[in-house]
Amino acid sequence: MDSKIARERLSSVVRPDSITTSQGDFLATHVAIRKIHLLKRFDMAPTGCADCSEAAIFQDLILNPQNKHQFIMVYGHPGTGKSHLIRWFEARFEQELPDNEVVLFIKRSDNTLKGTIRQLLEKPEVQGIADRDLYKRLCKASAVVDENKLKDMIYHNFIIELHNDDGSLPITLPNVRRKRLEAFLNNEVIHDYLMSEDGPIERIYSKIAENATGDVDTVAQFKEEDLIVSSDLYDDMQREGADPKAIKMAHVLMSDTAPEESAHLTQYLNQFLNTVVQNCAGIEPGDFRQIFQDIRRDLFQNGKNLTLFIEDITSFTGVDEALLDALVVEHTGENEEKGLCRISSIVGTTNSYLQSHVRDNYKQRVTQYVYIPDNVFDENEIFEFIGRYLNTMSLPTDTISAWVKDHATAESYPVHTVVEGANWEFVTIACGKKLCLYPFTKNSIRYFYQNNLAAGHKTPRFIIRDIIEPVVNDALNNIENFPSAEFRVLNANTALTYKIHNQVSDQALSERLMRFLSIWGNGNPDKFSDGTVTYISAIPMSILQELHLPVLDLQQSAAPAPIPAAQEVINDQPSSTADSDQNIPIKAKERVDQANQVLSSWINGEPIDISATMGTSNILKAAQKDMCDYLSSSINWQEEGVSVDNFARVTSTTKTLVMFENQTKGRGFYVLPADWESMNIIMAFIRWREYGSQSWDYPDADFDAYLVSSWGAHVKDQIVQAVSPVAEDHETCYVDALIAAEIYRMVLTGDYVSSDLSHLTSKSLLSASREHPLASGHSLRWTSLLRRIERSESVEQKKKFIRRCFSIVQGMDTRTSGVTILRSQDLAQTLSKVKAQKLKVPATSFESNDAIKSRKDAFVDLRNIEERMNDVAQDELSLAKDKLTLIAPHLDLEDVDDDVILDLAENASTFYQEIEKTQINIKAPSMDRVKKSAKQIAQAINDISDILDETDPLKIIMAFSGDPIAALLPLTSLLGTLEHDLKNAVSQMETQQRKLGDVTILENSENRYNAQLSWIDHDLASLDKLR
Amino acid sequence: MNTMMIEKLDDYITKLKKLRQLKELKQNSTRQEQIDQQYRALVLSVHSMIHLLTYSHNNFHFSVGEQLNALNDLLAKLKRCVATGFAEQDLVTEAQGDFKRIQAVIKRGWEKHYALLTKSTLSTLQVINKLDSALISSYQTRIQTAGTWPTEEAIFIDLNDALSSSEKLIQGLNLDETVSVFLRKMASGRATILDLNSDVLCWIHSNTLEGKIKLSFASK
Repeated sequence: MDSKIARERLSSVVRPDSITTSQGDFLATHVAIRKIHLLKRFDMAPTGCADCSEAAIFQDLILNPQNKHQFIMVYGHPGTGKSHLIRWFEARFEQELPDNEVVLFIKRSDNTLKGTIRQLLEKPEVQGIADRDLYKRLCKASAVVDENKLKDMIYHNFIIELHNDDGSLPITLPNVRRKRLEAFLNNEVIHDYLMSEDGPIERIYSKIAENATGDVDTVAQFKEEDLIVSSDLYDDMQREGADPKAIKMAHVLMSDTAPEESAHLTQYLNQFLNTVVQNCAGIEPGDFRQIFQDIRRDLFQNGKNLTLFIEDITSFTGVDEALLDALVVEHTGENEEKGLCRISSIVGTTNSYLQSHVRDNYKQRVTQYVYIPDNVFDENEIFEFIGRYLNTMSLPTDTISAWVKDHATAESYPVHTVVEGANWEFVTIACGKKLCLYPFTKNSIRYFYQNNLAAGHKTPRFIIRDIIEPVVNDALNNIENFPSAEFRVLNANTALTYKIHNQVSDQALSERLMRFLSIWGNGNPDKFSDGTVTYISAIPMSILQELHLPVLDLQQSAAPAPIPAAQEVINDQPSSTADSDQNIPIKAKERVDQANQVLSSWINGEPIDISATMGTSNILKAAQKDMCDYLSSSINWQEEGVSVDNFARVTSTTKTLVMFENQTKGRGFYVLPADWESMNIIMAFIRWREYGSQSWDYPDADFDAYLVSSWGAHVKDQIVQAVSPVAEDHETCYVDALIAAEIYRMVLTGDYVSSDLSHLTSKSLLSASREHPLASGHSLRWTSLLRRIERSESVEQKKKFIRRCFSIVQGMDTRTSGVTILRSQDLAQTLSKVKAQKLKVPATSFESNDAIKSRKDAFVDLRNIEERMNDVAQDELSLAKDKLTLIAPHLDLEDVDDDVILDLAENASTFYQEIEKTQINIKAPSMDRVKKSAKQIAQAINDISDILDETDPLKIIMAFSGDPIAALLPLTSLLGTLEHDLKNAVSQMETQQRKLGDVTILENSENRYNAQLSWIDHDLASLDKLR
Repeated sequence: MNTMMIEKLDDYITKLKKLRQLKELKQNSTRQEQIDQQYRALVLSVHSMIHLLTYSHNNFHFSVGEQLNALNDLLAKLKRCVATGFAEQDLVTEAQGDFKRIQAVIKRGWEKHYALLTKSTLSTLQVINKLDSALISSYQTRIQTAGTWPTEEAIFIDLNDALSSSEKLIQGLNLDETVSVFLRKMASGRATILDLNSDVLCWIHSNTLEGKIKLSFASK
């Protein structure tokens, strides 16, 4: 390469669209195509055809020695070189054309309908045709139309055509569905959706608008996926209050039958494409046909024949049928009288366009199909292709022009003087000429061809765009860092990576070397000598020195066998591992490769997505899980001071043990840095799963196993540290908070009832919670706090967590082993500490930035309790005071014992008995509760009275842990009832008293029979006298 | 001292008891009144009867014999009725029955005694009725009113008076035996001219009774 010249010439030589390059550069970079297939009938993907060279086709067909009507279709996938071939035909034809031959080459650089017509009208041969001015005006009819306006015109023209469909087109739609489709397209949401950048309207627009910049191979039409309705789109329609008909259509287009429906609707709508485009472009199909006929007639009158090269038929979107009509019209037979010239047309198009846009009757009238397959070049031709480009850009324009003038023969093909890359590889072309491949090596070309070009893109256009241009640019502008980080290493050799990073401390330099040896070299940690030159990874040491790359100290190996002379098309599969892993399924290799590509991007700064459950993302996700599982099982957590509970908390979070740096979703404890070492580790895990089916049984697995185990040991401390609680006060552990919170809970529930913590033992701490009465006498704040505590997790879980903190699990797997031993001494010590601190942990603990939420939650829970404790205590105290206030008027609180309570109950019983006897309507309450709990009531009154002046919240809540207020309830209830009943009794007694009236007489009933008794006595005396 | 509610309850218990007593008293008094009324009426009836018995005994020599004991028992029973301070219904009812039985016996005894007591007088008054019909008839009525055991002492007094007046009248007529026989036969419708002897005729003329005696044929 001559970088001085190349720097200037690069942009003009390296153009993916062959039509835009100069004639000289075009010919100088042209590599003869020898694998063209000739067909009489269209075949989407022909196989088994004989190869034919471009030269043979030129001689037999393009030169048209028999001077017959020809309609030749050149087709192939986008970028296969159709335009290049047509241009080469045109260039050669120009050199050899007969005198009476007029050549029309319609480029697609303009690539619009009007641009194409303009090209035609600008040809000198048609300057004299009739109505030329009229045609020119026609082209300017809708010269500049606002982009959005034009798009809207296209969109609404479809709706107009659809609305006015009279059923005359081949594909019909029942009326109901047609109306629904119309409503669907009229919907604003759908309008915006179809008008989007990737939508069909944009595609169609790019073919008719003069200022549009679209993909040259875009087929301007509706695609099936355009009409598939996603659930989001459907929701948007619903939200915007779409027409019911539109909703019905959308519903069908999101159902299971959506693909079939969409396919049918797409075909239906595409029928209107030509009409719509013509309407919007202001050109009638007849116009185009007329132009061609006029041209041909004009030429015929001048005794000329026409050879038409059309680079791309898709340029004629909207009038393509009219164009085809014009091209298929022969000059002989019934058309002879029309006075048309002979036409030989060579038309380029893509497979898909031919398949879907050209009707069968036109296909049948094609006189010859020329198919350019993918992978049209073999390996040597690719080297030559690249060599020619490198050579052309290193040659001055004058030299090229001189060569073209000299008929551009192979013998006179100029070769530049190598300024850079004399030690690099060369490719030999025709006539034994050697072209320097600098800044490429053959290995690098193979690598880029295999890895940088996607399937369907292994064509000249993409070789230029994705290989030549970026590499040359890098070499010209960034030689000191060549190859730069944009070239990613895929399938990096682990051993080579290790050796480089072990020997080169400079990270940037080591990665540059890694790139160069992996891409430009063979990627193996080999060093060999052919006697004169020493090669490092198949790269001469001199090249490394030239690029100021360090020379690795590698183990000497035997020189590889010479590369066979016979060349094949570069295999799509990487060749470096082909020998060693023949037993590994191809699919597995592909998956590993894909993962490798993603990881390569990752270590080069790209984010990594492992959230999906399929594809490469899933492979990486599985690798991450395998890494976590490996670390979980390989680290002796208890030995590292991570308790069973702690580890359980770590594994129960959504965070993974290991996460990748720059990971798009998910979080982890230990962040695996995006570097080559991490990539190697991840790849080892991927190979373990993909190649070994979760075993180390695959070629070179021993090294992967070594890598994994050494990595595990290396990161163990960091992992342990990452999962360990972070607190400024290291003495304070979340376990303290767990225990303190549990004690609070026990006090609040009454599981522990005592005036101080001295009686609380490890056993009582871990023992099961007792059944609590449904009703309690506690304040609302008390019960609310208790509910809050118990809401997070069950009591059993709380106990289990504490137990787990002090458990030693017997066995290998800490998660499944059933044998646990309690470290009771440790538990007792921790409990003593917590008790001594009066259930408090340092304030700094609450601010700890612990990575594990559940662990941080232990502090949060405790803080929640502590924050509420004072209020709870005060509320409880206040409630207790209220209760005592109720009792105080009825009982002397300073002199309460169970006898007093029993006396009260007895008196109350007697009172109610009297009430009943006196027939006063008051129901007697039961005295049983008061009598039975007389002792507790008396005790509660005394306990509460004792704590009334206390200010320490803990002491207060402990005093209330036995729920003395609830104990008072029978008494307060009785007193309340009594008070009420006494009032009631008074009222009823007064009423009865009134009913009795004056009772004084009743009370003086003595001597009431005195008179009678006197008479009796008198009578007795009288009787005596009668005797 | 813990006496607040307890004391209050004690107080109410006492009040309730007092109220209940009064209520019971009130409920019993109405009934007692009724019993008292019965009792008093009975005692009064017994007392009246004994008073009449005493009068009849003293003025007509009426004697009740065995019924004196029964009356004695009745009076004793009446005393027992109120022995509790309040007349007892059962005892009062029992005494009422006793009284009715005694009263019936006494009535029957009186009727017999009355017939004996008034027979001669009433017969004589019947014979001489035509002599002074208005006066004699009033005597007859007054005597006959006491034919059944009276309820009032006045009837007995009237009887006593009528009997005394009738005797005086009869005695004032100087009736000898022959006149008396003739008058009795006249009264019984059996007198004939044969009975008109001189004494009789003399007595008729002396008392100017010619126009007052009618003749008629005797039926066989």
